[in-house]
Amino acid sequence: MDILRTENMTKSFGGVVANNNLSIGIPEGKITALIGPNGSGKTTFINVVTGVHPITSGKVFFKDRDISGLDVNVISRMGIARTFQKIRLFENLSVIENVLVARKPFYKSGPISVVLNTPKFKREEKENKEKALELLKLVGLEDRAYDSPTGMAYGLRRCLEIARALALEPQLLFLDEPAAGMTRDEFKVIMDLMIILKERGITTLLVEHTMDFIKAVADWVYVLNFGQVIAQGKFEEIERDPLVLKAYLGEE
Amino acid sequence: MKKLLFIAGAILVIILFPILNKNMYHLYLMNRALIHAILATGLVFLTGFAGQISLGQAGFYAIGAYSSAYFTVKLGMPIPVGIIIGIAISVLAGFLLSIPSFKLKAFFLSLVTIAFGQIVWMLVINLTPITGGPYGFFGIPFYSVGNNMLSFGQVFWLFGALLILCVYIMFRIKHSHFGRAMLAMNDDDVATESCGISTKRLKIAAFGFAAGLAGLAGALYAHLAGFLSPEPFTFFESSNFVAMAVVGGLRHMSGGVVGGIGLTLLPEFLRFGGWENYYLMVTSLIVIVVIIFMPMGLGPIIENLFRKIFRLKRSNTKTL
Repeated sequence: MDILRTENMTKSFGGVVANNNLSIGIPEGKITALIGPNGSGKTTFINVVTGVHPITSGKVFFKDRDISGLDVNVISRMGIARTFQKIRLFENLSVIENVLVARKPFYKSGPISVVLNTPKFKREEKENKEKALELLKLVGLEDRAYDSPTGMAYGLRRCLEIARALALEPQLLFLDEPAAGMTRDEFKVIMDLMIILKERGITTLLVEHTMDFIKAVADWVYVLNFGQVIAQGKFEEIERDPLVLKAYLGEE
Repeated sequence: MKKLLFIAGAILVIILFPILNKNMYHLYLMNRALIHAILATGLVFLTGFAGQISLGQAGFYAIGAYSSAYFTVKLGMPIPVGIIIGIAISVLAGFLLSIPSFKLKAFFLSLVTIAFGQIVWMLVINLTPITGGPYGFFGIPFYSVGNNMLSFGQVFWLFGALLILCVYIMFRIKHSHFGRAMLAMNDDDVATESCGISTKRLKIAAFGFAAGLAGLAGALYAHLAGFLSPEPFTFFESSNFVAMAVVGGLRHMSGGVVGGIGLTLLPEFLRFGGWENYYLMVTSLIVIVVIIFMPMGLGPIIENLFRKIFRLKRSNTKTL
C-alpha cells in the first residue's frame, strides 16, 4: 500500500518545469530514496508535496486523501514531517525548545489556561517536555538540551532537525539530503536512526547523493532527471541501469 | 523565591511613589509614562517576539481613545465599559491589519502599517460627528468611584496595576507553546509551518494583542486627559512608540516598560537641565546611541544592574 501517491504532478517556475508529470508512489513502512543529478527536481518534489510551493497541476494523495492545495501547517499536522536541505533551526530558541515548537499541535490548553497557568497546562508542558527529551535522547542530544543550537557541530544540528520533525509524530518523514556535508561517522548515526524509525513503522522518503547511504538503507529507489522519473527499482537494479548511468556520468 | 521578592519590590515602588511625591505634574507625567509603557509592551510582543512590525500603533491608540470617549460621553456608559469597548474595537482593527502580514514582510509590511496609521488619523480629523475633528473631543469623564474622583496618585496605582497585569500576561504567553511558536516564527516562517503551526493564526493573535494594549493605552489616556485632539495620534507618535520598544529592548520582557517610561521622562529631564530648545535633538541622539551601542536595548542592562544590587541569581529561562 502506498502511503503517498502523486498523480501527474507538475510544478513549473515560469518556463522551468521542475517536476514534469510525476506519478510516484511511496510504499508504507519502507524507506524510499529519491535520487538524481542536481536540479532534477528532488527538493521541489518535497516542497510541492508538503505545500511549500503551490502545485501547478496534478494531484497529491496522502493515505488516499487529496492534499494538494492545503496549507503547509495542515499537511504537517496530518502526519508529514520534513527536514530541509539547508538546515533551518530556530536559532533564538534552545535545543529542547526547538523540539517543543513541533509539539504545539498536541497542546490543548488555550490562551486563558496559559495565562492562568492552570494545572492542566502545567501537566501538558511537563508531558511534552518529557517527550522532547526522549526524542533528544534518541538522536543523542539530551546533554545539549538547554544549549543554543547556534554553533553546534553540523551533524548535531542535522540530528536536532530530525528530532524536531519526529516531534510531530509523523507517519511519513521527508529527509532532504541528511548526509550532505557529513563525515562517515556522523552519517552512520543517521543511518542507524533511520533503521530504528523503520522498525517503529515510520515511512521515510530520502533525498540523498551519498550512494553508500542509499545502498545501505533504501528499499526502493526512484531516479529523477529533468523533473521526470527515468528509472525505479531496488538499488542493485538502478545501479546498472544505462539511463541512470547516462544521467549521472554522461555518455559513455 | 527571590524572583517574587523582586516583583514585590516593583509593586512597592509603585505604591510608594504617589505617597512620597505629591507634585501633580510629576504624577501626571508618570501616568503618561505608564500608558506609553503599556503600549510599548504590546510592540515588544509584536516585534520582538512575533517578528512583525507596526509603524501604525498610534492608529490603535486613537481607536481606543476615541471609542472609549464616544461610548462614555455620547452613550453614557461607565468608564470601565468604555475602556473594554475601546480595547475590543482596537483588537478587531488589529486582526484586520494582520492580513497584509500574511504575504508582506519587513519594509513592505511597515509601509502598510504606516498607511493604516494615516487612514485612522484622517478619520480622526474628518469624522467630526464622532471625533470632534480638529476642534477636539471635550468633556471626557475622569476616573471616579461612585461620586468621588480619583486623585492622580490613585490613577497611578490603577495604571501601575494594569501595566503589571499586561506584562504578566505577556510573560505567561511567552513561556508557553504560543510564545515558543511566535519566537520560532520570528526566526523562520516556513520551518514553523512545517512544525504544524499556522503562522497566519499567530500573526492575527500577535497583531490583536499589540492592538489591544495600544487600545487600552489610548482609552486610559482619553480619561486621563479629559480632552482629545488629533495631535497625539500622528505618524510621529507611531515612530516614537517603536523607538520606545527598541530602546527598551525588543527581545526583553521589561523592554516596553523601560523604553516607555524612559523615553517619556527623558525630554522632561532635559527640560530641567536648560536644554528645552534642544530636547528633541538630544532625545533622538540618545535613541541612536542606544540602538548602535546597545542593540539589545536598555532592558537587559537595567535588569543586570538590579541583579548586581540585589545579588539575584540569573534565572535560567531555558529551563522553561
